[in-house]
Amino acid sequence: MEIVIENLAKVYGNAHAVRDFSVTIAKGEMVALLGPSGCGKTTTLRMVAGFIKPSAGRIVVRGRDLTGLPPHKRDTGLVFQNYALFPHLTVAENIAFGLRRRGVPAAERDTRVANMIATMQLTGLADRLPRQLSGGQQQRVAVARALVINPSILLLDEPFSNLDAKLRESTGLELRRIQRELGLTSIFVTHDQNEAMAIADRIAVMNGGAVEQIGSAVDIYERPRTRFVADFIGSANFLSATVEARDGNVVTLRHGLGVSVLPVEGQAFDKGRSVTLMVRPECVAIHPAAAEAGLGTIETISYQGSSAHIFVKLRDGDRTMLVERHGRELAGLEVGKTVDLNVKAQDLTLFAA
Amino acid sequence: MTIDLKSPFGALLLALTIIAFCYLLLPILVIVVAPLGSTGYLSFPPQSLTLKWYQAALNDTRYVGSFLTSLKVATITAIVSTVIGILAAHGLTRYEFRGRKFIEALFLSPLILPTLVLAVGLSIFFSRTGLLTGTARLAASHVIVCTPYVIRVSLPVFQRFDRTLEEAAQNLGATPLQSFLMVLLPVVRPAIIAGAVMAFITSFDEVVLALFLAEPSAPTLPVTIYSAVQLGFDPSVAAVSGLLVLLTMALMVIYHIFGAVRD
Repeated sequence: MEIVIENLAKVYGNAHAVRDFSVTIAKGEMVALLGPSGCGKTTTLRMVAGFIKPSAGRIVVRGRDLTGLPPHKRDTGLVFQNYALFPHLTVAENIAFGLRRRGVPAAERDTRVANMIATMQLTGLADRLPRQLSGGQQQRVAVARALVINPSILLLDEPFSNLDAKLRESTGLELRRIQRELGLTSIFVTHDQNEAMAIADRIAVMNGGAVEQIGSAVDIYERPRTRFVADFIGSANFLSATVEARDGNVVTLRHGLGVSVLPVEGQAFDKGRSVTLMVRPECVAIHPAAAEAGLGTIETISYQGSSAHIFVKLRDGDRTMLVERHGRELAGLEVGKTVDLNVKAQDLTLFAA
Repeated sequence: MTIDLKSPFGALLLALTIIAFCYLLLPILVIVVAPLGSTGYLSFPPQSLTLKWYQAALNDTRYVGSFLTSLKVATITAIVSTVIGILAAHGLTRYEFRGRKFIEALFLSPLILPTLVLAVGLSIFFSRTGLLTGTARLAASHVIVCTPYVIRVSLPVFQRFDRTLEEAAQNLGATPLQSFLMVLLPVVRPAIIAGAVMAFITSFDEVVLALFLAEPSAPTLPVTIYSAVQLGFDPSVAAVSGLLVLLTMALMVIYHIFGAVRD
């Protein structure tokens, strides 16, 4: 394995910033650390870069234990959130900085800097100072500066958060293309799930210093292991349900939208237990219904072009369901109308409690 | 806030501003221009222009000798207090330690201690211990007064310094010392130059410590001017002062070219 992180932890006083973080990353893989602010993702990244000393655990890159090494001996390339370009050096000098520290001969250094300037589409900007560049250009210089040293691992700290929304996706995909071409192993930190899902091979969803789930974007979206993951990734409708019957590993659940039969494992789902169901908004079917028969009424419709978000207030209790529809499939759906909602058992995710 | 200078209040403000500037700057103009008069006493405006008093000042070995002494003392003071001040500012902004606030206050304290008290204390100290003599003794005393100026000028710049720049340098393979020398120092250069100029001018201009601590055989320029004025005000003294004004202006120009913060 290219990178092995074992039981990494950081404790400040009695606050656990990171607890028991373990992951193995294959060569060329890109792993996103995703979570709300304060979840420990940045602390983890900074421990890998060497700026924070772990309280426990090990970081091994290509078989070399980095845990006790100072930052300048770690050979990691870090792209900072604010880019941290040296304001007194030109673009070319910024990119050459790491090569100079490594004693790369001048001729080779110039070639590598020139190649990197071409790769990152910075041609013609070599002699500019950072303050003379746009945000997007500064970001590309920061990436170029980290890549030119051929780091054993590329670390990215919210690299796109200072770019505007349109630039963000294209920059992300471009970075992904370069990272693939160079076969770079990479860890990147973000609070933006779209970014993580679009770019990363695997996502580690973090909360309160601990990893809730590590998996592909499809895994964590379709098969969230905890309520936090279900809620944090995408939109989720939670329904309380009761186990009506259990037959081996199959349970019958009664919930606000009717009755569903699901396969389960474990003791938490015995007859009579209260459980929680999660269903994604795009998996809820919605039909206009007769005033008496419907399950709820449409409260709001938020039209977004390609899709529309329909908020349906259920008749029993005060729960509101979010339903996502294609933007052109809104016939017969208006605010105040009574509707029926249906879910398929295969689209339901079951959580104990 | 913008004020319309044509409004009654604006006109008043403009007039007060002009008066204030005249009050501050006219004496300097007088000092530079008055020695151009040919009379044997100072008069303003000068009668028939001549450079003879400036010439006399430049040919007077007392002035030239003490100017060189002052230059030497001020240069040593500027270098030593800048190095100490920069390191102190770095330490005070970079590290959290017990008593940090106290030390910060202590470094700034000679600003509120009367120089006369310091001068008496230091002359007793140096004559008892015999530590340091001549120019070095005076320069050492000036360092005490000038270092707080350097700290005061550079502290805010160090506080604003983006530490991720040093982290970036270390991430790219620079040792902590290399990142200090190659990233921090160049970025805070304006503060360093401002502090050095400030220390230089303060030392060059200082008269109380110099009266107490300079070698009687090698007084500084302010001391020489002081004694010359006590003996009688001949225009060459004013000419020396005029030259000092020009030197200070030259330093300010240097400061603005190399030390100004550019954004």
